[in-house]
Amino acid sequence: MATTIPSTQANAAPEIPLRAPRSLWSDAWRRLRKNVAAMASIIVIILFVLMAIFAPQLSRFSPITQTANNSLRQPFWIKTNSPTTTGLPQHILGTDAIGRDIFSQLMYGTRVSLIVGFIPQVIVLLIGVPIGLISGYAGGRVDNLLMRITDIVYAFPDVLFVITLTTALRETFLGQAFNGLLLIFIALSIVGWTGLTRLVRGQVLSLKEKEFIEAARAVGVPTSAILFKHILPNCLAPLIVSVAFGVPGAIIAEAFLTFLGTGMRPSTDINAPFPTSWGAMLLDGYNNLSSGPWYLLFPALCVGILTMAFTFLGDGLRDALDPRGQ
Amino acid sequence: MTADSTTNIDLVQVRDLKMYFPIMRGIIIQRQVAAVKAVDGLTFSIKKGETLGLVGESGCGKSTTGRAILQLHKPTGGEVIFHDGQAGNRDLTKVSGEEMRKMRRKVQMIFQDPYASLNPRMTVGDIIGEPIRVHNLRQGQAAVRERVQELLALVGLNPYFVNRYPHEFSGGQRQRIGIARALAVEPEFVVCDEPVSALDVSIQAQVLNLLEDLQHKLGLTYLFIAHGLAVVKHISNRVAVMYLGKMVELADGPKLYAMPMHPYTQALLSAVPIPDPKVERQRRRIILEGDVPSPLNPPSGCRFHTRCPIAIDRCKAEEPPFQDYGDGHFVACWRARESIELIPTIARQVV
Amino acid sequence: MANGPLLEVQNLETHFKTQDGVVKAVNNVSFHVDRGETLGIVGESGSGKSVTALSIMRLIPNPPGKIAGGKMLFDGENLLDLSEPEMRDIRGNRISMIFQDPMTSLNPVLTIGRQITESLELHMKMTPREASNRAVELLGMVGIPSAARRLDDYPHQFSGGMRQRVMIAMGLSCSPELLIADEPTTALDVTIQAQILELIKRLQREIGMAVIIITHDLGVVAGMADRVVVMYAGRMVEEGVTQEIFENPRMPYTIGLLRSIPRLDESSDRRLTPIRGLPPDLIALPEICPFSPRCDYFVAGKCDAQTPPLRNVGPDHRAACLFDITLQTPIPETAVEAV
Repeated sequence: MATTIPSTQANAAPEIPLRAPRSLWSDAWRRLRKNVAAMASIIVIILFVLMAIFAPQLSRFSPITQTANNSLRQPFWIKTNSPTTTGLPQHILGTDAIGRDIFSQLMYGTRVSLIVGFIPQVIVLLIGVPIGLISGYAGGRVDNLLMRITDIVYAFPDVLFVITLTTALRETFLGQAFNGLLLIFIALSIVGWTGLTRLVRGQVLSLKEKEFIEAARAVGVPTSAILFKHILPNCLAPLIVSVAFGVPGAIIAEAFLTFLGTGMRPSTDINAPFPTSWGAMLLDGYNNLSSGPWYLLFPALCVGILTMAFTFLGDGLRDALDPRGQ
Repeated sequence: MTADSTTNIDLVQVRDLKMYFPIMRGIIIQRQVAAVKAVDGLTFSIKKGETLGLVGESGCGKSTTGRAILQLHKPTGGEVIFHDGQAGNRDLTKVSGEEMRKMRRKVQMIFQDPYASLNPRMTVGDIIGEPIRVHNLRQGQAAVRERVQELLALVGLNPYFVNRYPHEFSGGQRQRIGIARALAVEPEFVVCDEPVSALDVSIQAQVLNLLEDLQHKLGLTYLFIAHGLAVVKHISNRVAVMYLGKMVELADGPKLYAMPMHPYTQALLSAVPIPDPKVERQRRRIILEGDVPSPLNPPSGCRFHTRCPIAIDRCKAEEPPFQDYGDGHFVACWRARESIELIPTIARQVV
Repeated sequence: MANGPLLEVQNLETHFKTQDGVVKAVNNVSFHVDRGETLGIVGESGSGKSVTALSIMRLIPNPPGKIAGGKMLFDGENLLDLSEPEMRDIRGNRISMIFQDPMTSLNPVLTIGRQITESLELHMKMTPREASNRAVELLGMVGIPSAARRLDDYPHQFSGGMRQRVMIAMGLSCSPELLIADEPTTALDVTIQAQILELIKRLQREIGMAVIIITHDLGVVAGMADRVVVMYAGRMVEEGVTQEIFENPRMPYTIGLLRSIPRLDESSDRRLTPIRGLPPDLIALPEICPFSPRCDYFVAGKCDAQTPPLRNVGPDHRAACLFDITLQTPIPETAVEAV
């Protein structure tokens, strides 16, 4: 055996198996795939989205066409003695008080629910995230000021505010746009951003002290780049979960508001993209309860299923994105 | 470890550095009621090409000192003079904004925690490439990528790994990535904040050797902060000891370990376990009583007097100055000259 | 009192089921601890030293882990045969354990006094008053000033070193025959570490208990242990009297460790000789010498053909290496990286 001693060991190339790089997102996706409830929910949501997009193709009748002698038909599996109310195969789920097909209404109503679910969330993100980022990172007086404003908005009675706003501005241009949908978006967004802001701020506060942020500062990365390239991507996980949970809240809020009469109003325009909503169907169904529970039941089921789907998805996302899993 | 100081200039001079963290109270309006005096008046300098070791126990302020020098915390007081080549000396505490960002090319930091110091959502290539892009050191994606791979090879990692994420690496490898990131801007001065403390023992030597090799290759100057006295002794030219925000002793490495003059240094050295059973059985330890006082309310006079085995009245009343006892051996102790004889009589055999 | 070792572990196997496969965290480990002696278990992260300790206490979470084989004879009785209530009777009473991080091992919402007296009332069947008095005595024994007053304090009101002393007091409250200390001073400052280690030594003499000290710090082991077990990748790779292990290590891993750590009492000119490579992946570890990929003395065909057994290399000294390698053996030029 020779007597040499190797000079430096620092150049030894360590062995890592040669496989594709695994980002944290792909890890999370793998975990999500294993969650049966979450995957089922994704499928359900996709189905609803397809229903919404292809509503004109899927429904045989227009949701607003009123047919005489056709009102209050039962779903097709129920037969009654009266020829006007007995179930017919072409009106699978029956008709409402003025003869409009329920199945078609459900299809078109999906659009409203999905849109109401998403758009306010987007607006809330656009308001809440920057405020949370700035508040958390800047600290001090700026943080104090922004948080007190947030507190004030948070303390507003949400539902009261939304009802008041929608009622007061009903007849204005704002209130008329999109059958009242725009007003609902705005109202929900104004009261809904506080939770997200606090969430983001909390994330930023804990990330701010992490060493990789310090390292970025030490390297000379400008503050804006730190916020958007370093802090924001690491906040995304709870944000995604929050949005997933926020959607069912919005859907139910819309249904609730319309039920109370302050939300959107069904349109009679043939070309309107949003002729009706599940909330409107609930109201009608409630008013006509004496003719049968079906008209109330179907939209209620839809609201329930879609809400549950988003909730399961939110749960699944939260588990999959949980940093403890890393 | 011999120093390569062909020039004897001071690269970094710290004068009366103070770092106080205020404690705020109040509901709507917040006022400062007290301050944690993490660093309370440090004066020392680091020569170009040398490694200055900074040791002390938790709460002594050594990590804060490193960050304050780098202006990661804005110092509450004092000056940090950096010798900027042709541009002469510049006080980093007075530089801000864009100018400071430019200065960050010259002074960098290696962090302690290999798990927390890398952004888990960025690839290794991005992490090392960011400093290059931020300071425009290379033009174009291809040039940046090439430089990143160069740096990876420099720290002993396979350049193939540019697309991987931090969590796919071990602690020692992540630390190398952190070193590559610090070197990407081609700095002159690097603060190493406990770079090996979080690593397995068998990996520590790899990283220590790497740091030494890089120092030779690239002419770096290090401030090596650690609590592992054996490690610091190995890599440093001179060593400074801190206690509760103050520097209590500073001397040439071998001299400090052979002839420590401050009672705290002596206690510290006697407490470090040595991997040799024969030596350990015969050792006499100076066991300090009690705990380290809180930096919120440091003791009067010499901060060490509450635990010092040879404290006298003067120690309680007056703070001793940090002065040169010959050959660059600085001590802050009223009884520095006598301590060498007195302390060993107090040290006891621990079997 | 029976003759023979207090604790004898034979062929212990502790396995964990993970997503990617079975991890043999403790792989055929056998050692013994005599009454009153201190055994040091040395290893790095992933060596299996902590899992060994938890196995002795039967505190392995099941799932995902389980003790898959072997025997643990405590005073002649196999701990694996005991029922859970019988085991609970032993834990904290005859075998006690203290952990690395006292902050997470102490319940933050109970007072220190309560946590100590709980164990006393349970195991020693003391009345609350007796337990309280004994608790004050114990706190005094571990060097906590104003012990009586501090009984009503909560963990966060103590400093790190104090908390570790409280943990020691809790661990010793029932005068155990065996104390397992898992990295008891790793999280503490060096001067506090010296205090705690001295305390453990003193108490060991006073109570006459055996101690297993688990650590990665060779200096601590040199000062505390009578005998040393070195673990790597879940296996025992060397075992012997402390003096022997440090002066005459026979396993390349131990040799590598000793060469790679800086020492306070040596000249700083010696270049550290690191161990190259990385700690092994415990999943699907093949039946070869686990240290092969990093061993400077690796011989193809021999070291990767079998797992070397622990063999006698001296009086009360065993090492798991096929060859006779010592600190003086020069490193071959043709050192090749294997596997």
